[in-house]
Amino acid sequence: VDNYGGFSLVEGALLDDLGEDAFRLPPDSLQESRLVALNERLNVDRPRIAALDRLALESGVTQIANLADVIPLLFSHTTYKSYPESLVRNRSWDALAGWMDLFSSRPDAKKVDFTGVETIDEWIARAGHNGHFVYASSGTTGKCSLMNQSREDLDFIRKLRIQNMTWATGAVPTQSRPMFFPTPPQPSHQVGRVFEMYATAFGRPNDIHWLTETPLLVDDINRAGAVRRSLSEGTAVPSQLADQQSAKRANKEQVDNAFRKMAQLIQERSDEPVMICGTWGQHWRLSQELVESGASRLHRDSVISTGGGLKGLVVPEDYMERIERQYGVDRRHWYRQYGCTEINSHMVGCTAGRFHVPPWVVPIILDKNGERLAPLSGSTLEGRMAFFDFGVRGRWGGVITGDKVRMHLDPCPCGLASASISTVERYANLAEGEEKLSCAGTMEAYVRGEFGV
Amino acid sequence: MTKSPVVSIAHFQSGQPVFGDARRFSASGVSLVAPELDLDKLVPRRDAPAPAQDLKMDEILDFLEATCGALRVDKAGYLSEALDALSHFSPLSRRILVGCYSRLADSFERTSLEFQLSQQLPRGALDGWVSVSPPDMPVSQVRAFPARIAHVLAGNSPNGAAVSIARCALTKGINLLKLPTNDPLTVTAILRTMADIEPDHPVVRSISAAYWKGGDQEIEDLIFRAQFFDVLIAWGGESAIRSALAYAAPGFHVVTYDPKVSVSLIGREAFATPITLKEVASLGASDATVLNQDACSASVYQFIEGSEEEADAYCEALASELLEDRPLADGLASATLPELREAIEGLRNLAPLFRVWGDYAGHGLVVRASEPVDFKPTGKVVIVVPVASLSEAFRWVTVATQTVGVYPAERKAVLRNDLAARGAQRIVPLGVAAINPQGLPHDGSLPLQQMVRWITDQG
Repeated sequence: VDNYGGFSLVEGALLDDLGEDAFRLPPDSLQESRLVALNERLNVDRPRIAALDRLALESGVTQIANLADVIPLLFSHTTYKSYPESLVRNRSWDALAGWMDLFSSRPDAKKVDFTGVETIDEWIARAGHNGHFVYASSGTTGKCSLMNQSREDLDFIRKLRIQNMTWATGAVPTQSRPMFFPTPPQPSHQVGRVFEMYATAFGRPNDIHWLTETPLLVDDINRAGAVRRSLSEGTAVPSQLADQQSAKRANKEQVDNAFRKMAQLIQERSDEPVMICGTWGQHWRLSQELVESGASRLHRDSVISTGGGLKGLVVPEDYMERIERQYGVDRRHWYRQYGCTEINSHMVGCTAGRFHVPPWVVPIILDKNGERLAPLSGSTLEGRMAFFDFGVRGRWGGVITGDKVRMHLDPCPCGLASASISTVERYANLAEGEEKLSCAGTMEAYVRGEFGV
Repeated sequence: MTKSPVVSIAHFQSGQPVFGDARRFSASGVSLVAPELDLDKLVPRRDAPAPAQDLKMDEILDFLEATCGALRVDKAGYLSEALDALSHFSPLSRRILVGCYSRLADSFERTSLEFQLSQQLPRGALDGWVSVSPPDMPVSQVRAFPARIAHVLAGNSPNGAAVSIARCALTKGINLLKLPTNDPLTVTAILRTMADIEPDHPVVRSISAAYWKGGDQEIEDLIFRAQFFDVLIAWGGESAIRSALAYAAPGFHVVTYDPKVSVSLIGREAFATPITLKEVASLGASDATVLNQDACSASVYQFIEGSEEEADAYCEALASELLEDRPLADGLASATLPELREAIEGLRNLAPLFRVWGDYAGHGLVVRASEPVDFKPTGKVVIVVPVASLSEAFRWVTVATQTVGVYPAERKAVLRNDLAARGAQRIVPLGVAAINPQGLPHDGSLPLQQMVRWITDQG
């Protein structure tokens, strides 16, 4: 394919609206071009992505006449962790690359020379040096999802993230702000890379602050999982568990100190606009430190970016209001987002508290089991969230999530006409859910000191 | 398979079936209706003795022998009625269910019951007080006294219903059987058959059965108490067991038959000739597919002493054996679960590290791997791991291991102490995992002993 990695005309048209007008188009107006683009992508990707070809062969879907046709072609959110964990433990790096190739549009990671690679993080870095910008998403069991990305993916994400940030908050990418990330750097994770992009675009050089200097590696998380594993295999001894527990305590102390230090640095910059990016849980921790140290409010032009959930952190019911009160920045202007780790794009929060779907993401609401389209009730759909993201280039853009959402097709109270999502819950946390998989929660776990070593 | 619109559950109390449709449930696409739950009637009163307390064991054995005959004849059609209804929603095929039902009576064979007693409880101590003489002390008397027992049953095999009822009868206690959602019919069908022989028989009056949704705290919290029961016996998966253990309290003893995994250890003798290999694969397939692999005795990991190539030859033979119908297995069972399918599909392309035989339609799958995988195989999925020596497999045997099938059987004697020390509970010749003579230990214990209270009348 000549235009490998490039966008077709139709896709290009969807992506043209990236930025200011992206969220003004009503869903109806996009239906036709989205279907055309879906068929284009299917035709281009089928010969390249082995796992997609198999789905197409098995389901007999070779053309997408309507949205329901795409359902059998969506990957499940567990697809990207379907490799045997022993590959990582036994350092079978070539085999791991071969597995990843099944889902990649440039399936030649297995040609990369992984000689000398010791850890999963080194494997990710080595693949990156060879044009496969793999990222990980860690699960609490110590087995992470691994997703390939092309250079085009990275370029797209950078452009999208910066434009959306500017659109939503008014921040301009002039390398002018002190930046705060209440998390360690995570070089192998998507969120860590996005934060790096923000730091480069918006951050004042030498005024960029992470919770710790030491990066959090996938291997650290795997090691914590290894104790659980050896416990279940019956090879762990009590002192090993005790070590793990005391490492956790030491880690918690370190994290507590790091939050205190960050709160101090923020306080010292209360007279200029800063940017703080983190999950709700991280903002809660940070704002609590600010409260305790009697810090004043942030400069009113400061930018707060948040996403993700609380991942089990226990907080008071009005925690959002409390964070807002301490920061002193109107919550309606925060940069909020909803998405999933398997796609590049994200839904952007609006002043009405909803999340808006951009033109280049096809939102698909399925029944609980992810088998059929959910029925439309008025102009509202409720069910399992699935996406097709035309912004994903290195892999297939279709994925079914573990989230239960409510999506509205009529214009949002905020004034934007695009489809909007008002509630997001995880099926795994709902009584009706039957999932056995635990969702990723590594960062919050780190903050609470739940894993150590 | 047509879905029955409604499955009607009967309770059993005071020697009689109770019908009704006051409560409705749905489970795996089936509607279940059950009568009102009268907990006051289902819970035994401490001021009344157990109905069978003073019955002699010979009378009980006579009655159970009659039960055995009546189950074989099924004159009133209770069994065939239950079987028909069950086959509409059981994950097992009708052919397997028919086989299971035809063997329900076996649990009431007099010789089998006599053997159980001989292995687990002295008959005299069940029938009355037996004299014992502690050194230098006066003679005392002890009795294996009937207890009050609640049972949370598992429904993956109809046979479990018969085994539990026979144990209840032998130990003379007062029993409440909580019917499982996946088979709420077999217990009552057997109890009704017994009631037709002699409605007021003390054994019949000793056993009640009722349905509620497993783990329903509002119900279980009211009745799982020392004031009503001495023992709770729970069978089943992790959630059922954990929920039962939560009620453990002084005076309220919880016995669990835990969720288990079974394995096979196959020696290099299997490769003696191509015919031997085929025979061994047939035995391995038989052990792997007990109740379409929905039994805790079904082998999911098979360690084979040989090279990768030899293991592959075994895998190939095993995959073709999985296609066969067996008494407790369907050649074509339910399609592989999506998450399992995804994990296995990932392995398919990882040759030579892994190799996969079979499809996802339900014919069975064999995966050759260098070590057990990180997903839980179920529904006719067998993981075959080549090892240089069978002792290499010990590290994968844990407290979660139930049955270990060994080929050739002569090697059991060399392996058994190590296997037991690691946590395994039952060592069998390859191919007989499904055959479980009553009277032998069950999950590391002697079940009849856990169903009585030992009382002392000290001299």
